[in-house]
Amino acid sequence: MSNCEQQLQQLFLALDRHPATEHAALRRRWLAQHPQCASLAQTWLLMDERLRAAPLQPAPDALAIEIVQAVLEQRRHDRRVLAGLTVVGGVMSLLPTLLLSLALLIGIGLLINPAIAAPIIGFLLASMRGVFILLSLLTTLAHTLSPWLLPLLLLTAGGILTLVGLGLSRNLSPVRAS
Amino acid sequence: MAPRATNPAEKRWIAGALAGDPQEFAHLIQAYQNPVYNLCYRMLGQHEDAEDATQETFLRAYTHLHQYDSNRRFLNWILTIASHLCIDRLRKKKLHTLPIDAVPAPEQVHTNGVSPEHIAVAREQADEIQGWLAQLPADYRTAIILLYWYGFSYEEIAQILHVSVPAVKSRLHRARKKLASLITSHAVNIPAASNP
Repeated sequence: MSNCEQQLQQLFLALDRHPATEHAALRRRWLAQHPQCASLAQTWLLMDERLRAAPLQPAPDALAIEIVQAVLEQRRHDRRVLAGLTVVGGVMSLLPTLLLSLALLIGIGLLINPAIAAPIIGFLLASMRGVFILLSLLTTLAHTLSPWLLPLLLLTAGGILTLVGLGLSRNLSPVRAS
Repeated sequence: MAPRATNPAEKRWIAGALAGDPQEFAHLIQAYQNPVYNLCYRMLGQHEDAEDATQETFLRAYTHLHQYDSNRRFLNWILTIASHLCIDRLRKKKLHTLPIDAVPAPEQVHTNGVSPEHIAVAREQADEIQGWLAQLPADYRTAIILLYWYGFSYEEIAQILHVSVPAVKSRLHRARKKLASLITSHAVNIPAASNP
């Protein structure tokens, strides 16, 4: 940075009410001895004056109404998203409970009479296979590996979805609070 | 100009908006639409873009209102959102600098009880200033706007732009140097002004 530029920077630090390192009188004296830089300072000062005098550009009259409508639409959208997540998370959280209850009932049935419980398991597996292919695959896997695998997977998925829903609801503060 | 400090009414509006009342947020929109719009217009140079950016700013503010620090002035917070949004938009559109012959959108000038000559002069000067701003890179432009139109200190500008105070000083100096060179090179007719 040239000496002139340094002087200009100091001059504008003072104009911007920011502490300048050099005294104003010294600066004026320096500028008086350097007419070329003083001329440049004049241009800078004229520009500064014009910018300071520039008015605030007002917003169009209808803008506030448009923004309020956009905010209301955003609020409705957030609520829909939150409601959807709550339902999905709730269902996913409920499924493991139902499956665990069913597993418990089947377990009791097997203890009492293995012959009665076997067709029920078969029927359930066939139904699941028919409705949800993915669920059916998981059920087969669960049947092969462990009877607890499917409920655990669903419980995990339900938990994750519930946490995602809670996390999103934290970001939707006005919706969360209402 | 909107209130410079968070006043009791404003705190009530924020609390109301956080409690889920959009009417309370509407008060904040009403109070701050002009400063936000002015920043967006000065940054983007087009009224349509400024309206769109203003709307987006308030939507972001609404969605993230729970993150607002009540120790900070609401004006500073919302202008922080607006500044970064406008810089992002300029970067995406690669409009750091407009062509030298680009004509910015005519500025709206208040015409109440003012002679046509004065209106014409005011409009010309306003367009000229907007033309200067359009020649600046986005980062410099924001610093200049926050200093001249909002009277923010270097510290406040640094906080809004998420940079250091020396960086603000540097940006302002470079921006002024660029503006002065534009004025000199294009021999802009500036009316006489008082001495320093």
